[in-house]
Amino acid sequence: MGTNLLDAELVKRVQAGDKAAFDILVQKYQHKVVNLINRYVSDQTECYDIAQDAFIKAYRAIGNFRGDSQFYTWLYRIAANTAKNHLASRARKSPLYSVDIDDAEHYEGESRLKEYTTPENLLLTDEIERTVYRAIEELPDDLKSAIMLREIEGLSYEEIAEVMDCPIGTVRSRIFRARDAIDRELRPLLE
Amino acid sequence: MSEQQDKLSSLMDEFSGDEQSRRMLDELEGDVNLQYRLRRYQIIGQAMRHELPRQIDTDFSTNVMAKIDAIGSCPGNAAAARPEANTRPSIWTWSVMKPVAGLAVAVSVAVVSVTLWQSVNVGVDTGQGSEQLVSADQKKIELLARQQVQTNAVPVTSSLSGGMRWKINDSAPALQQKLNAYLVNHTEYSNSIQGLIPQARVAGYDAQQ
Repeated sequence: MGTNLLDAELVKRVQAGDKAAFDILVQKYQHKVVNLINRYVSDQTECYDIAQDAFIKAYRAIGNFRGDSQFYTWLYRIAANTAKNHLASRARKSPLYSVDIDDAEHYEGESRLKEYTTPENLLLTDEIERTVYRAIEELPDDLKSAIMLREIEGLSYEEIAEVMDCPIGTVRSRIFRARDAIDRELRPLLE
Repeated sequence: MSEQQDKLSSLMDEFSGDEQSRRMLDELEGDVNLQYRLRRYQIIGQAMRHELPRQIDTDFSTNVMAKIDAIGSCPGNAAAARPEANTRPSIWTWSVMKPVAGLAVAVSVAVVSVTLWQSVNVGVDTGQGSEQLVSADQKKIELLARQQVQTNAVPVTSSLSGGMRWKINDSAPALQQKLNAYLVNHTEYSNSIQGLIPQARVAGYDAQQ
């Protein structure tokens, strides 16, 4: 079952009323959606707000998703439209955003921003990337090669087996062990 | 547990059979720790490809699902996602309503047109008719005028003293009686409020006659 089939299976479950399946889709695509929205809106807080709206819209509309396109292209279209609508709405409301300098400290947007930027909720990507790459550096070469070929080059298990001249089962095992080793380093940051 | 994580890793990499993937999804949905692990595996890949956003909201999916629970959205309610769809009639409704609405407008226009045309024509006709009537009335008036000239006019005065009655000179009692009878019979057409209740009205009463 490939990614598309996996998505299709998850979508089918959501359409049958399985919310947990949608949670998996959210976890899977949240960062890609946020990155997409980030091209329209630079503010991270707004990005997450819009991304949240986009996922809620997708959830509401998923009953009408017939699988004519891939789920992620459908989701990205919703996210892009939500971001554009947000920009249009913000342009219409722009006079409301002007805050008198004396009232700046009581500005509502400021408190909203503070709420989102609490260190409990947000982690710097740099820190995660540093941790991941440090963990990769400590891996044995065969595990490191396997995970790099998979995640960075995007090769399939068959292709990696050919490149590394080893059975597919070995590739599968190496990739899993590499992930597990990196995960042990990453988990304290994310939990 | 390790086997389960191995399967999860395979599931993420599209390297599971359909049946195994479905079983794994079933397990995944019922196991929060496994979901967190899947999320971390995905973050590892995204971090390696530098695909992570500048900041990561670790509670994002939890917040999304909480909001979905709070607003009670149900999947398939596409109309809610597209509010304009609520106000737009269905294709079937519109295909039926369009000719009916068109016919209704056409009938309304036709009725108004015919009514206006008739009123204009009637106006023209009544113009002619009124001319005829006017000429007929004029002839009658001329005839009456001629008769008046021919007959000796009887001086008539009205008096309200002692009741409403006509005073005519004594030489024409029949005419006086006739006029008083006319007054009594037509009193309900008078402008007075009493005219509205003719049965309670006594007009032209003369205690002496």
